Formats: sequence, C-alpha cells, structure tokens
Amino acid sequence: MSSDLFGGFPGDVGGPDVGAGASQVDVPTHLDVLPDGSATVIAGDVGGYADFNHQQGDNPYGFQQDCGLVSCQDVLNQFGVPVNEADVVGHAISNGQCEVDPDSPGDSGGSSPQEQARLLTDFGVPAHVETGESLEDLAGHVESGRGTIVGVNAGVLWNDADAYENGEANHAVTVTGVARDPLTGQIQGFYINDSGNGESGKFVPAAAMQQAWQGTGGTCVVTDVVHTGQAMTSEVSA
Amino acid sequence: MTPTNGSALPPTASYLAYSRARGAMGSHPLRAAEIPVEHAISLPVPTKRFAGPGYAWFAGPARRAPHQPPTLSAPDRWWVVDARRGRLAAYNLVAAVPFGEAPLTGPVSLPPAGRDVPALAADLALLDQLMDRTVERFFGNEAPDPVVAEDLRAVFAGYVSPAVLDWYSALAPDFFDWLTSAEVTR
Repeated sequence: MSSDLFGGFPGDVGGPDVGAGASQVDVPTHLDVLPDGSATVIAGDVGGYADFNHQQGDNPYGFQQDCGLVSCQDVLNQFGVPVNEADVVGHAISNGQCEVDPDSPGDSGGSSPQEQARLLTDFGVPAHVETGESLEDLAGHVESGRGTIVGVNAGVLWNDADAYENGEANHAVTVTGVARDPLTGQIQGFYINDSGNGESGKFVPAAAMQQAWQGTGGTCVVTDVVHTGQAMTSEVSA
Repeated sequence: MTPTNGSALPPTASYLAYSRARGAMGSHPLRAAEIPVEHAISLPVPTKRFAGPGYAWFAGPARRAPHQPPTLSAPDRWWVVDARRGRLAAYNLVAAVPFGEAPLTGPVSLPPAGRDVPALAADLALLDQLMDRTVERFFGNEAPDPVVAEDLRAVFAGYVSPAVLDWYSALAPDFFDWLTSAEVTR
C-alpha cells in the first residue's frame, strides 16, 4: 500500500505502511484458557500489544485526564508509529484535540471520540467513530485487524462503585483481543489495555463489556486500516 | 387529510420519556463530537427553561483513580434536548453562556458511593421509572402527583451527592421548584 494515503500530517512522524484490505490483515489466533478455566480461541496480539500500554499522566504538561489520548498512543504504536504520550498530548494541544485548562492541568487532556479519530488520522492511521454498536460489531473490528478504542464506564470495568457515577461512558481503553468459545463461536469476552490503572491484556467478560460499553452507547473509534504485523515499540526521541 | 394552520396544529402526542433520553445520550452525535469521554456527565433533568419542554445535562472535568471517589470540577458545558422532537436544542460552554445566575463552585470531592455497582444501577433504574411517571405532568403544566414526587425527591437525593445538588438546581430550577410544590399542596 502506498503511504500517499496517509499524507497531510505536518508532524515529524511519517505514515506507516498499514493495510486497508482484508488480504493484508495479520491477526494472530491461538487456543488458550480463560481465567475461569474455560477453553477459548483468542484473536488478536494481546501479549504483543500489552507493551504499548502504561499508566496515563506520563507527560510533561501535567495532564492527567488523558485516557483517550493514551489510547490513541497505544493504537499508533500498534501500527508502528513510534510516539509516546508526550508526543500525542503535545499534538493534541497544538491542534485543538483535547481539553486544555491552563489553570488546572490536572483536569486537562480529555478528548472526544471524534478528536481521537482526528488525532489518529493526523498521525497516518485514518480512523472514524462508530456508535450504537454491538459486541459482535466490536469483535469484528478486532478480528479484522483494526485498532479499536472504546468508551466505557469505569465503574463497571473496574467493579468500582466510586467510578460508576451516573452509569455513562467515562473512560477510554483499547481493545486488543477477542475470546470466543471454540465450539460455538460465542463471544466470551475481550482483552483490553487500560491506562487508567495501567493493566494490560486484561480479560473482560462479555457481560461486563456489554454493560460497560454497549450499554453506555456502544461508541468506539475504529481505524480504517488493518494491522499488517509490523508493530514496533520504539518511541520518538524528544 | 385535514389541512392545518398555525392555530389548528394537532397536539403533541407525547414527550420523549426520561429513560429514553438518558439512554440515548450515550450514542448521541453530540457526545461523540464535543464531550470528552473523561468528563463526568450529569443525569438529565427536565426543564422548560429553554424553548419549551426539554431535558438538560451538564458536564465537567473529573479526576478519577481506581477505588477512590472522583473529584468533580465545576461544569464547563451544558446542553438541552427537545423533549418533543428529541433534537438537540442547545449546547453551550459555561464560559460563554452560564446556566446559573451565580458562578458554579468547584471542585468538589464526592463521598464514597457506599454501595456496589448493581445497587447503583438499580437505583438509576428506579429513578428512570419515577421520572417517566413524572415528566408528562411537568411538561403538561399539571400539578405533581404528591406520592410519586415524594418518592422521586427521595431517590434523587439519595443518588445525587449533596455536593453537586446546587449544579442541578441551577440548571433546572423550574423542575425542582415544581417537584417541591407537591409538598406544599399535599
């Protein structure tokens, strides 16, 4: 694929060579066992992508409410774009893609799904927003090799009533894998990277994902391109 | 078909139910485009302040850490959905168009939830039911049902932290005044 498709980003990170067609997709699958002992087939490079997650707030601006931006960094790293949190936050500040309160940096860094999609696109990984989706829709994105960020309720995700608030989506995480029953194909759950608590490759049962994500609007940011198996972990030097 | 004119429009059949309004906001285009996913979003509150019957929300930055109550900054935006057509009627940043007469105070630290997630979800479901039974009367300029109003006041006060009640009252004073009026007329 020509990198011309990803032109237009004025920054110092070139567009990666990522595939848009299913023929180029590289989504590993393997047999495994879930935490409850059930057999499963996992689609997605859960272990490999776990390296791209970290506890949010690691930027020189003091921004702490940037789970959406850190999720973008995670997805960009998955596609071989060597950025760190500071790069992504700096770009978002410069391009109006996150909340900035000069009097309260700790409250800054929040981003809407559309802002996240624009940021990914700026860095050469075009993306768009989907709403009202189902668990099968979400599984399809991951199984087709697309980078995916979902808006979830942190209270449900963390089983933490203090983070439940009014039950709405209040946190962003990346989805890195899907677990299906080997016999029936039924979705058993998803694997996520969560910058809110720093947990990587965490298994979320389907019922919890239904409540945390689908039940709060089923909104996700999905890349228009697919993984081609060349993710890298290097970061941009300052 | 009977022609109509401005003075003979058919009455509005019904209003958008509270539970539907609350549920639909999660996938509303405004949510995806304008509101950071990290923001804390209020419960919708019925109001007639803004161009007729509607549901109003506010939202603001929130600091969260696992297993700690969040700290909410004062709301920085608010919006209204028309309760008859379901369309967005207003969206404003507080810095441009405040929704209260006095500046909103914050940040506030919420107290611990004190119950588990299923219990909170059950409380919200009950709040939905009571609001659904209440809004038709409010939007229709009828007096509140005193029993339902009392239950609603209790559930609302039990769910929403006192630390942020002033924000709700500033957004929809007409609704809360109306709801309280049931107390007087009993």
